[in-house]
Parts: sequence; structure tokens; C-alpha cells
Amino acid sequence: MELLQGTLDMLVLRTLVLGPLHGYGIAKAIRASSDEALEIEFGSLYPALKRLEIKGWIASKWEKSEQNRRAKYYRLTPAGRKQLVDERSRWAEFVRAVGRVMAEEPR
Amino acid sequence: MDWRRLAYLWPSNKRREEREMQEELASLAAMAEPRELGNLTLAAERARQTWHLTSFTGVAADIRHALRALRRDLWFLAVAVLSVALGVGANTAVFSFVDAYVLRPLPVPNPSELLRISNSTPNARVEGLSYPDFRDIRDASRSFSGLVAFRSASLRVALDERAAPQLRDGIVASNDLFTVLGIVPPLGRTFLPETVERSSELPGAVLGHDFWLREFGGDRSVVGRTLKVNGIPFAVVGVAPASFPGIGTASTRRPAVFVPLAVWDHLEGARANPLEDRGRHELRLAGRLRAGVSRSSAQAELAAIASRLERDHPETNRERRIVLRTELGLRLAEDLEVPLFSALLMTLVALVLAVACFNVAGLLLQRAQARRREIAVRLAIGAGPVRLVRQLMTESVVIALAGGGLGLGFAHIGIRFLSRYHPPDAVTLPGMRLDSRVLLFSLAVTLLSSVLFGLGPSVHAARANLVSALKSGPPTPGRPRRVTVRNVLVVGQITATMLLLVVGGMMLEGSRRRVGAAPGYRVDHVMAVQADPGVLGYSAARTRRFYLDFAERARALPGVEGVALTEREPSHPTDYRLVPEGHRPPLTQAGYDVLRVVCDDRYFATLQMPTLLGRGFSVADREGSPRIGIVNEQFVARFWPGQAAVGRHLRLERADGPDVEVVGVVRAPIRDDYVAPPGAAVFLPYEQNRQPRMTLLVAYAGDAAAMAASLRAVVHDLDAEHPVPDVRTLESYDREGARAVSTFVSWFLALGLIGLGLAVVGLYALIAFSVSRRTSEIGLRMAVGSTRAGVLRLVVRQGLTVAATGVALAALVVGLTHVALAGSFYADAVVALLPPNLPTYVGVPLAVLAISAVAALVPARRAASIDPMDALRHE
Repeated sequence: MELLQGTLDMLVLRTLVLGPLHGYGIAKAIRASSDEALEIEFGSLYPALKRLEIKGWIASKWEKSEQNRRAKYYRLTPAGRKQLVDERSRWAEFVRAVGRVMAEEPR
Repeated sequence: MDWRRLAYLWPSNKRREEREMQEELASLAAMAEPRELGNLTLAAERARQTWHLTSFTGVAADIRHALRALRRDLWFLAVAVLSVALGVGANTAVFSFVDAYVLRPLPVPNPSELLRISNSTPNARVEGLSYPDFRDIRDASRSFSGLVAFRSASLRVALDERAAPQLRDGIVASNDLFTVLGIVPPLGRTFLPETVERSSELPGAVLGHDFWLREFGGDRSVVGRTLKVNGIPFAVVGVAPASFPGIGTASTRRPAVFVPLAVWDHLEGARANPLEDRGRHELRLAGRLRAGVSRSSAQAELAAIASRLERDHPETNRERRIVLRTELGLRLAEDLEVPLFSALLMTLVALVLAVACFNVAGLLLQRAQARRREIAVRLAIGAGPVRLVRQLMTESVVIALAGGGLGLGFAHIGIRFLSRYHPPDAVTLPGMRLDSRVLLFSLAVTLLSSVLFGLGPSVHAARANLVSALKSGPPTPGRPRRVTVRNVLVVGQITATMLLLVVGGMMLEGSRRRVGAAPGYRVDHVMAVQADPGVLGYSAARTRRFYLDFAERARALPGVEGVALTEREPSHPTDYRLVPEGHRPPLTQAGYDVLRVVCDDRYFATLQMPTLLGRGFSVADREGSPRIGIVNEQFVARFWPGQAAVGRHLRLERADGPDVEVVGVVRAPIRDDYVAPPGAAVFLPYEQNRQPRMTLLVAYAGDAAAMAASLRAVVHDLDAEHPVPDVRTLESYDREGARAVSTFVSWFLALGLIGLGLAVVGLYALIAFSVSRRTSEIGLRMAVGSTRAGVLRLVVRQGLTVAATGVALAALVVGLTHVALAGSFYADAVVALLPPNLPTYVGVPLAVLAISAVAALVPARRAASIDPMDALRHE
């Protein structure tokens, strides 16, 4: 399934709530938590990380991975946490609205 | 846009980010399955865009694009560049002039440390100090690391024993002048300590660089040669560097020679010793502040010294304050006319620049209109408004830089024009000479102008309505807006033009009133001879004898009709102060400003100035007899209007100064300077007011050249050592004044014409463009039944409404200026230079409104003459 436009940022922020992850880890985590339904293209994910970092919603740091490799780990900043709350309520509203429209059976 | 991105404009930040990204991508690729991450190069490129701002790399592209876009529209480009060039050129030229006269610091190391010290009295803001005062200040002051005194002097210089002496400008300076100023002579040395110079057989002289080149051909063996100055032999010890043209006021000539102050008394010969005379306040002082000493503490110390001097020497130092100023402060305090004139010029060129900017802004606006589709397409395919403004601003900057470059060429011509009235050997000269100050200024003006004319139209264009713009045909007129960018431009343009023309008109009127007018006394066939026996070292008594003998012998020459002795020719009276009977001295100074002429009993007859009341001077008015004076009509009108003047008294200089009885009133319309109206003047007899330098006025019949030669021969007969005196006709002084005025007027006129030319083109283009935009509206009006005349009336009325707003705004500025100047220090000078007059105040607004009406009418007629159906079909 392809991602809806504009939802990638929200998914990344949501994923990082659980703890710092590197770029590849984020892609895998989104795929796993959507039961493999969402296919994340790395070519879109990586620029999104950079964008979120510039906006100050996530921060990065070089750390050792579990396989003892060096990797850049991203974590949520307080500003990002606030942004996530905003996006979540907007998303809920969006889903409700779309749901109401789609609930009516066309005659 | 996020401000954090700006950090990536810094190249090292960008490089670091790039390195980190490559590292990160490599580490991720190592973790993932092969190919799982897809196209990493594409991911990297997209990531780069997030921090690249796409920007800096885009500047080169923007410039390329701007050049391509401008090349398509050469007519626009030419007018825009020429407008900017005229604006920048005029500003640069005027700045160069103002810089030379007012702003430029002295050409010495650390000029800001060097402060100027002068006396200030109730009658003069700036006066010199006497040598004994200088000595006392130098001994008592702890604030300065070095303190020097100097004065300009006219010296009789002979290159060797046999050469004929010639009058040259020189500087008499204390021995450490060069050391304290920080000037190292490229050849030889400077002066030795005062006592050494004084006791030496041959005191030292330092040559000015120009003089050295001109008279000695730059000969390096000149050091050691002997020079005679005022008849005394000096040894040439060194040459001043070319970078130091001398020190003095703006029009001070470059000194030929510097001689030590230690021998000042020898230079003056038998006259009273100036080194011991506390009454001769003739020296200019400069000092370098000691490290850690503040200006205010130095000033406090000088004030304390001044009050001590006043206590110890009340007869010479009464109410004589010692004032510390910066070089700029001194220039502003010393001379009011030049700063005033500079301010006026700067204001006018700023207006010219404003008109030029309005022009280009108007053109850009039209161009943006013509490019609406292009701009709309760019917006539609995703160019952000910021990106678009940047592109349009790049075009503005390109135009400005091209105009600025051409403007430097214009400035070069302008500077030559401005220098016409400047003495070619003055210590200060306007000029470009790769002067970094002038170049920096013109670059700043150029960039400022690009923002002024570019920003508004660019933002306006980028806010364009996409939908209507993408449709074909001219825009549908939306809701009519009262205040549009175009209207603001037209109003601004008209205001600036009006102001320029009003000043130009007043200037023209001021010079017309003056140049045509007769001087009011005889200038025809009158010769003025300036002889100065002071350079011969004469005593006061011998100087008087010299002048009396000179007058006697001149009177005996064939063809001479009359001879008079006077302080200076009548076009250069001395500024003076006095307190007339029945008046109390003004609050800020000890006396009223009047003009003074010291002259003998033949003065009025020689110049044909009739005595109206009382008597003239007589031989009975001599030293020791009761002091008398004569005043002119202007004096009576100012101080004793409608009252008898003869028999009343004056106090010279201050309320308790010497008493003088007025014995006569003459018709003598003398002026302080050429432009000013005749002023109140007092005439004092030579015998009761001896001056060291006098001028002989000779009325004659016949050939001027022959008369001049005979007068020179008389001086030579009197003393063969006297340098050839300056002999000129009064007419030539009058012509010189007229030339000075017409030079100044021609500067303003040139500025006015440039401004007017720019404004007419710009105004016409702006208004015509506004009207042409309404072609379809006009068609619609005609289609629904408007008459041709009705449409024309409507368009012209609307054009005039906007123009009238500009005129009203300009009138407001003129009015406010009047109010601000009224009663100020500058009021009289401004009114003399720029007399308010009806033709200007009525003619200029009418002319501007007429141009506006024509500019609206021509395109309106074209619009009204087209078939309504044609106009509507465009919709």
C-alpha cells in the first residue's frame, strides 16, 4: 500500500516515541507495526528525516548499534512530541470526516 | 522557510553535512539487504535539497536568467540603466565634493586622535590663539602627547640670493608639527628644537612637495640649499611627502614652504614681536590626546587654563574660552556656508536619485505587467513567491550595477564640472583617484537604489493573481483600488520632481536678481592694488608712510582721476561687530554683525558713493582726535529706522568698546558676498584705525594694462624688494563674483535638468501606462454610451487627482521647510541664495500638472478612438 501524501512525517514521529532508532530501523519499524501493509520507500524516508531535523522535531546522534556498528540514531525532541500530538488529533479528525463521508452508501 | 537553513549558507556547514550524510548512508546500506534501500543517490539528492535552500547555487543561474531576460528588452534596459547611472553619477560627484570640503579626515596617521584647539569669544565661534597662550597651554596641559601651533602666511620667497622674490603661500609651524601629525619627510629632516632653530645662523625650511617638483624639478640635492624667505636666508632641510598637501581650511592653498614658528618674529621684521604679543590671536592649534585621556577631561583642563589666562591677562584674554573640537567639528564651526551648501546639494542629488528610482520602478512595474504570463507560468509550475522575488531582484541588482558602473563615468565628468570653481592647488580637492571612500559610497548608493526601485515591483509581481493572469488577453479590471502601487509611484515621482524644480527655480531667481544688478558704486575703470610691505619687515610707522607715499605718487600719474586707501576692495568688506546707541548687545554675542570698511578721506569720492547726510572724512580726523565713523543707508534702516543718525554714537566690538560718533550717512550698497543683499556697514577712517595691509583704489581713464604697469612701477620704485603686487580692476572682482554664482547655479541647474528629464520620461510613462491598462474599460464605457469627450474628461480628471496629491505633498514639504528654517541660524543665507518667489511657487506646480494632464490625455485619446467592439473582444 502506498502512503497517503503528508502522512510520512507523522509516522516517523510516532515511531520515534518508542525510542531512538536509526534510519533503516525506522523504515523497518513502520513496516512491522503496520503488519507489513505500509511500504516505506527509503528514498522518501531519508529526506523526510533531514526535513524533520531542520525543523527541530527530531535530533540525531552517532551511536553504536546492537550489532556494534556505528549508526546515526534519531530521537524525538520536546518540540517533536508537541508536533506529534497536533498531527495525531488532526489525523483523527481527518479519519472521522472521511469516515462520515464514506459511510453513506451511494444509491 | 526555516531560519535554521541559513546556517547551511556557510560553506563549511554544508560540507560537514554532506560528509555526515555519506557516512550515514554507508552505515545504513551496510545494515540493510542489498537493494533493499533502493536508489541511494536519489535519496541523497533529495536530502540535499532540504538544506541547500536550492539557493546559493542558484545565484549564478539567476544572474544568467536576468541577463537573458534583460537582453530581450533592450529599450527598457537602456532607459533603466541610464536613469540609475544619472542618479548614481550625480550622487557620487556631489559626495566627492562634500567629502573634500567637509568630511574627509586629515591625511595623517590616526586622524581621529588629532583634535583641534581654538579660541572662542562672544564675537567669534572660532578664533586663533596667541603664541604666549600656546606656550602656556603646552607647559600646563597634561592631556596631550603632542601639541602644535601653525598659521598660514603669505611669504616673500626667493629661490636664491639673486632670484626675484615672489609671493607664496607658506605655513609657519612649531618645530614638532610633522612629528605630532605623524608625517615623515621622504627627503631630509624636519625642524630642530625651537631654541636650536632660533639660535642657528640658518633656520631650517621644509619644502612643500608640489613646490619642490615645480621649482626644483624634484631635485633630491635640494637639501642644503639656501632659500630667502621675507629677506631672511633659510636652509632647505627637507621635503614634505606628496600625501601631505598641507593643513588648513578647505580653500587653503598648498604651502610652498614650511618655516619654524621660532623665527616668526624675524619674518615680520621690525613690527611688534608676535612671539611675545598675547594680543595676536593668529595661531591654529592641534594636539594628539595622550592614551587614556578622554576628550571631556582634556576640555576641562583647557577650560581651567583659559580661566587662569583670563585672570592673569585680562586685557588680552577677556572672555576667551579654549575649545577642543574634532577636525570635522572645527570645519562645521568655522564655516557655515559650506556645510549648508553641501547639505543643500546632497538633498538635491538625493531627490535626483529618488526620481531615477521611481522611473526604474515604474518601468519594472510595466515590464512585470508585460511578463504576467511568464511570471504566472513560473508560479504555476512551482516556483515559490520568494524564489520569484529573488529572481526579479536579481534583475534589479544587475540593472543597478550596470547603472552604477556607467554612473562612475558620469561622476568623473561631474567632478570635473564641480571642480571648476575650486582652486587647483588647494589642500583639499574633490576627486576620484581610486578614492575608496567615494567608490564605497557609490556602491552603497547603487545597491540602495536597486532595493528602492526593485523590491516594490518584484513583490507586487509575485503576488499576481494566477488565474486571471493565465487567461489570455489583458487583465480584467478587478475591484478598483484607490491606492495602487502605480499611484504611489506617480505621487512619489511628482513630489520629488516638484521639490527639485522649486529649488531650481528659486536658485535661478536668486542669481537673476543678483547677476543683472549694478553694484551701486563705480567699478568701471577702477584698479585695486594689493601691496603688502609687511613682508618687507616694515615697522607700523613705516608701513603707514609706504601707503601714504604710494597714494601720493599714484595720484601724480597721468590719467589718474582719484586715489583712495582702503582695507580691501569694496566687494570684500570685513565682518565686524558693534553695538549702536539705543541697542543692547544680543544675548549670544557681544555685538551686532555688520560690515566694516577702513578707508581714507578720498574713498567715497573715488567710488562715487554720495554723502546723503552729514559729512565725509577729513584730514582733521586723525589719531588722537575724537573717533568718528560713517554709516550707510542700510545701517540706518536696520538700527535707527526713521531717526536721525548723524550725531549718534556706536560702541565698537562690545557694549563697553571704543566710542565712535557717527558724522555722516552715505549711499554705499556694499555686500558681504556676491549673492547677499547690501548690508549694514560702518566706515572708519584709516588714520584712527590703522591696518597692517591696505589696498589702493585708483580711478583712471584710458588703458587698463598701461595703468597697471605704471602702478607696479611705482611700488618697485618705493621698495625694489617688494614682490610684484596684485593689480586688478574692480570689474574683474565683480565678474569673479558673477562667475562664482553662475557656477553654483549651473550645478543646481544641471541637477534640476537631469531630474526634470528623468521625471518627464518617468511621469509620462507611468501615467500613460496606467491609462493604457484601462483600454478595455474605456471601450466598455463607450459601448454603453459614454461620449468621447466624457471619457477623456474622466481619464484626465483621474490623472490630475493623483498628480495633485503629489503637488500637495511637495507643497507640504516646502511649507514645513519654511517653518523649520524660520528664525534659524541659516534663514538669511537660505533666503539670499533661494528667494521664495511667486513665479516658482505658481509656475512649477502648473507645469507639473500640465505634464501630467498631457501624459494622461495622449493614451486616453488613443484608447477612446478605437472601436468599442475591438476593445471588448479582447476580454
